[in-house]
Amino acid sequence: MAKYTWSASLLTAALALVFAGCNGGGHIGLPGPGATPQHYVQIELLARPAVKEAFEAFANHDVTNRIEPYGNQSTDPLFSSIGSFTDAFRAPQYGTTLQAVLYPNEMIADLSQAGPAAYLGVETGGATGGKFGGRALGDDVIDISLGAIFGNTLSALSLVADDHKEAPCLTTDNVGYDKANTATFPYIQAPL
Amino acid sequence: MNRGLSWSALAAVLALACALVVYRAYPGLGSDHQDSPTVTGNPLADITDVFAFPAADNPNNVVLAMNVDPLIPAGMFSGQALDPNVLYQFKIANNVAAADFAEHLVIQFRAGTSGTNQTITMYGPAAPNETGTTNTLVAQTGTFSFNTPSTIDSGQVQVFAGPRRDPFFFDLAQFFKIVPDRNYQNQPSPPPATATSFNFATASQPIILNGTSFGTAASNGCTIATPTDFLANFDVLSIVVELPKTMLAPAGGQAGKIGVWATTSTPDGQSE
Repeated sequence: MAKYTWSASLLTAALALVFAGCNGGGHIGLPGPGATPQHYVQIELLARPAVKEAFEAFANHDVTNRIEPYGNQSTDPLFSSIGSFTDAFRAPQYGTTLQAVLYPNEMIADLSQAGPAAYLGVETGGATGGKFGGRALGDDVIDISLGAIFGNTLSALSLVADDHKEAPCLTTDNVGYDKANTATFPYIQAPL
Repeated sequence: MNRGLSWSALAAVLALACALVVYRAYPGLGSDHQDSPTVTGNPLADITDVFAFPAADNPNNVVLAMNVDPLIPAGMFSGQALDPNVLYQFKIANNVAAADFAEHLVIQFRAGTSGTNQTITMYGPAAPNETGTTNTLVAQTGTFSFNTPSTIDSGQVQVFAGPRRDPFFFDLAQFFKIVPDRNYQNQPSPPPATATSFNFATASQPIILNGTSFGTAASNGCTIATPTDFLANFDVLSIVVELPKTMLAPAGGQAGKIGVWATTSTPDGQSE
C-alpha cells in the first residue's frame, strides 16, 4: 500500500511538472485556447550591410540591435557614430550627408521600378546601378560603402563639395563577386 | 507483485524523465542563467546579410532574403538548422514616401523543432500585432520543410530555409586589421590596428573611383598582397521568400518605396 502511495504521488508530481513545462515555455506543443500569446524580444537587427560594422564601436552594437531602426536619433548610437566616425577624417558635411542617407537604418527599395536591384539606388537616384534600390546578391556593397566614406562618391553625386581628403587605399577591398548564384528560386548558390 | 502498481511506478519514472528533459532543453526560459545576451552567443540568431531584389523570372514578384549562422565551414552544414526558440522576421515600412518608416507589415518564420527534419511556419505578410521590439505571431500563412524550396498560400508565395553558400564577399580579415574593435573575438580589449589599407594585388594597380583617377597602389603607398574573399569557403543558413509586390503595398494603394529590415527575437530577449 505504501509502495502504491509513493508511486501515485510521484506520478502526479511528474505529470504536473510535464504539464507546467509544456505550457510555460510556449515551445512544446500548441498553446491552448485562450493562452497568452508568446512574446518575442528583439536581439538582432540588420538592414543596410556594413553600416554597423563600419561606423559603430562594437560596444554599441547591442544597443542598435535592440531598438527600432526608425527611432529617436538621439538614442541610437548608430546615428551619432556615422557622424563622429566620418568627421575624424572628412569635412563635416560628409558626416551629416551620410547620416541623412543612412538613417533611418532601413534598406530602401522602390517596388514601382522594374529593376535591377542596386544597393543605395533609391538614395542616389539610380547612380549605383538602378532605381529599384534594395540589394542584389552580387552588389559590391563594400566598395560602394568605402567609396562613400573614404572616396569621392558623395562629391561625384554633387551631394557635397569635394574636400580632397580621399584615402585611395581604403576605397576598395579588391574582392570581386565570384559566387554562382542562380536565376531561379531560391537564387542563392547551393552550399559548398 | 501487483501489476497495476508496477505500471504506475513505470509511468511515474517515465513522466519524471520527460519532465527533466523538458527543463534541460530550455534552461534559459524564464530564468537568468545566460549572462551573455549578445547574438554571438547564438549564431542561429546572428543575421549576416539582408537582400531585396526583383524576381528574375517574374517582374511582379519581389524576393526578400536573410542569412544567419555565419561562417559554417565548407562541407560542415549538415545538422545546421533554424533555432525553434528564435523568431525570424522581415519588417516592412510601406509608406516611406510619406516619411513614415515604422513597420506596417511583418513576415515571420518559426521552426517547430530543432534539427534538419524541422517544419517551418511562415506568418504574414500582415500588419504586426504590435510595432517595436517586442512582437507576437500574426496569422499563419503556411508551413514547409527545412531545406526544401516550397510553394504556399495557394501558389502565390515561394519559401525556402536551408544551407546556402554565403553570397557575401569581402576581405573581412583585412578590415578587422584596419578596425580591430569591430571583431567580437577581440573584445573587450581590441589590439591596435596593424594595417592601414586593404590589399592591392600589384604596385601598378590603378585606383579609379567614380571616374576619377587616384593614381596607383604604389603611388598611394597601399599594401601590396593578394586580396582575399574571407567568406569564399563558408556557408550560411538562408531564409528566402518570393511573393507578389502587391502583398507589400499599402492597403488600397500601389506598391512603391519600402523600407526593409530583418530581426531575430527570443522569448526572453537573450541569446537562448
